[in-house]
Amino acid sequence: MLQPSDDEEISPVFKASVHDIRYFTALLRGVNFVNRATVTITDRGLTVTVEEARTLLGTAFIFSDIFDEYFYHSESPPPAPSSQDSQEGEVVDNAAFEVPLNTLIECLNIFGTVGPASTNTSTGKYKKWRKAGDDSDHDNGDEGRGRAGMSNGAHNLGVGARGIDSYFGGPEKRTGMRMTYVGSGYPLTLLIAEDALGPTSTCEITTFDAEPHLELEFDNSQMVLKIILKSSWLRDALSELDPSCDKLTFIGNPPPDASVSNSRQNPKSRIGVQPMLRIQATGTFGSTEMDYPNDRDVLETFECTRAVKFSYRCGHISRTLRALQSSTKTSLRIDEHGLLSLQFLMPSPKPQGAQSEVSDAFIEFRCLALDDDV
Amino acid sequence: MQVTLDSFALKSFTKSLNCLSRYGEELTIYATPETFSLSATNLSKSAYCRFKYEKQFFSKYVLNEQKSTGTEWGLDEAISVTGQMLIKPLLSILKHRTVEKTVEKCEMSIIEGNLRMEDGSPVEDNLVVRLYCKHGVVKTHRLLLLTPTSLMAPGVPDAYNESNLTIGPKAVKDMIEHFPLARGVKSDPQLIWSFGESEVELRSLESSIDSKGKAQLITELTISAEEFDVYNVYASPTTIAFHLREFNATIAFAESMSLSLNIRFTDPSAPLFIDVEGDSLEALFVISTSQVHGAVTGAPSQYYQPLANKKRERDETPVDQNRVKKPTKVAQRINKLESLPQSTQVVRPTPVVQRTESDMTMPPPSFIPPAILPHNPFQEPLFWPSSSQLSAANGVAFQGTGLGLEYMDADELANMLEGEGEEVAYDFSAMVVLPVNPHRSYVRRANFRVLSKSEPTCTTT
Repeated sequence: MLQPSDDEEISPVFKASVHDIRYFTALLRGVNFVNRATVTITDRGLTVTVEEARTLLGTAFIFSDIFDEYFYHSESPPPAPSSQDSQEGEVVDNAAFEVPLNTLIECLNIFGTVGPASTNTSTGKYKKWRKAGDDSDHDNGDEGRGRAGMSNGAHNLGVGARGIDSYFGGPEKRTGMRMTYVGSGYPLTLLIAEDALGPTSTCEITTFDAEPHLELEFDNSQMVLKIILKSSWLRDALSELDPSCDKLTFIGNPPPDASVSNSRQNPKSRIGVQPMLRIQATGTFGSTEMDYPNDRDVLETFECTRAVKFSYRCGHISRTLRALQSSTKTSLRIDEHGLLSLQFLMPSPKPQGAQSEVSDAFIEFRCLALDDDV
Repeated sequence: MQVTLDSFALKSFTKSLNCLSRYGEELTIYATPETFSLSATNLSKSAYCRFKYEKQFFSKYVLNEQKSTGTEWGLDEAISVTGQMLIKPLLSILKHRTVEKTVEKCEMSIIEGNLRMEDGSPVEDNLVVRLYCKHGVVKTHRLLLLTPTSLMAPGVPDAYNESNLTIGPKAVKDMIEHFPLARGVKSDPQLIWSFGESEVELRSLESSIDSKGKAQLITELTISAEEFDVYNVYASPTTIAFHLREFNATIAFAESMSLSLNIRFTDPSAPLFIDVEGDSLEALFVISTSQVHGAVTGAPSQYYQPLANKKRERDETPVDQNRVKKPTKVAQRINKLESLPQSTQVVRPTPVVQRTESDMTMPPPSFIPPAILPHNPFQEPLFWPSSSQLSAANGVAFQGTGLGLEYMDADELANMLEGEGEEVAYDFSAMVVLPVNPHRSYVRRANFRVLSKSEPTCTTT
């Protein structure tokens, strides 16, 4: 649906700006395991969706309030808002396009100021978002080395410059961005500037028409297991698994005081009490089981209606690690059919206390269970 | 078997495993009611490493007496549990960064397959490592445990002409650091150590060049014997050469535990023994050495004696074993049929006569007391020196320079290369006049660093 060019200047479909792109980039990186991502623009924000092997679906929910300025103008004419893009179903009035995610992230990091790829698992990582100037040199140095790929040199330069600034308490230098999407068939335009006086960069990224995606609806009424826990617990558990493991099993048992479940899932256990949550993996050299007790320090929420045991491919679960590493809390849900939903709360840089719950973006992964027979 | 380690002991245990993993890939567990041993042998069986923990090291130590695998091994005395497994998976569990922070207690148990009948799970033995973390999180790792086909044991050191050195790990490390060693998995440099009366000379072995001919750099370092806390050399100078890879692992372990190394060696072809003793811990490292041709003169040696050569298939000739000793394997496999000596201190390796060298400096022939002759005359060493310590290129290089064994005539050389081992050895023993080392009775005890530390001299040619 192309419009005359003078119209575009006036009302592009999507326009957003942010003064610090790091949070936005971190969210994108969380789902950067498949290059082609579908970006859906709605009134309330963006969703970035990737899919792998028709089994795993990763979605980053980026709410509009993380942007300083967010403008969405429906591409479809106002009288008939539901005519065009309706992949999501729930929100009819949205625009969608596909974009190479790697390219988008590289463009955002064109000044090397986005910071490290979230491969490092150092704790308290999210703190840096609270105030842009307060990341320590150490953090950046460590993680800068871990950053693979292009723009490495620029990246390090940027780190150095910022590090010095933070020592002198000078004005915070943050890379800002203005993102424009004129409409279907137009590229996604990024205007990135390190500061007002410095250079700016304009990137145009080709967009593609959105293709229909795997639909994995999580039905809360069929939910059998719901756990909320600190991300660090899950992160440590997954990182301890032997790389040779190919199958990961989540086993949940109702809390002891609940109705007794008759199907004991794992008779091997020599612990008297059934573990409420067990993560189990089998690899070439043996197996690993991790049991988590009913302790508020570990599992903040634990709801389990019946004994459940579902297995997933380790390779898929490990796709979530990047998002997991930069998140603070994880919600793990499994429904009756074994559909796993992992939601990672990505702490937002904005310090508002009350509102932060609302504006924190999150990344969700949904993964189908392996057949039991396999 | 079930042992429990607290977090402090676990740290030390992990360090041991780390060291073991640099010796070999396979870990052998040998538990008796009093001690818990872990050992590893490298692929070429030229280095052996054993950690023996006292029962007291563990906060709990239970040996299941129901089934004794020891009887299978002809052990009368012992209830023992044995197992063999790959080190890597175990180490990666215990070395994980979260372990140090969160684990409060570690429980390891060997569960024999036939005891697990609750479900249809496989009947292999399992080593179950259960980590009790903070907040009641329990992590259970099950690792497959194999029944060891053999127990490895080092030869017993010969006490007769033993030299005895004690040195702190830092001091050794400072010495070795002077030698530019090629990095890489395959690089396995050797150092020649000459223990003189008051000085120790270290020289890189020029054969340690890689296949591309790099590292053609010879470094020599002379250091005062005062660097050693104890310096008793039976016959000075004694010159030995050994590979550094495992030695470095030992040093790293000793350094991490702040324990000093007690080094024992006898003559250039017998293995080097290193003892490291700590609280409830006894570590033994055995590294095979090789003789250095012409080293006694102090001149840079032109030939070296490879650990392996192509003639090793020749028959062993026990008669000659005290004439020409070759580097022997430090660990021997113990057959089921043999009687297994107490704890893994075992059988004297039968030295293998492989090739001859006419002017090598020898210890007097009587240096092996008859008592340590092989117990079983029919026993054959099951491990032969293998070529894994030397690259093929080295072998070729040797053959090139080996022709320069100018002291041999063509027949001998032909014999050496192709002939029957027995014949060669026989001819050789008939021909060579073995010098009696005039210094054999010289024993020196070093001052305990009374004098100022001498600067090591470093010469690079």
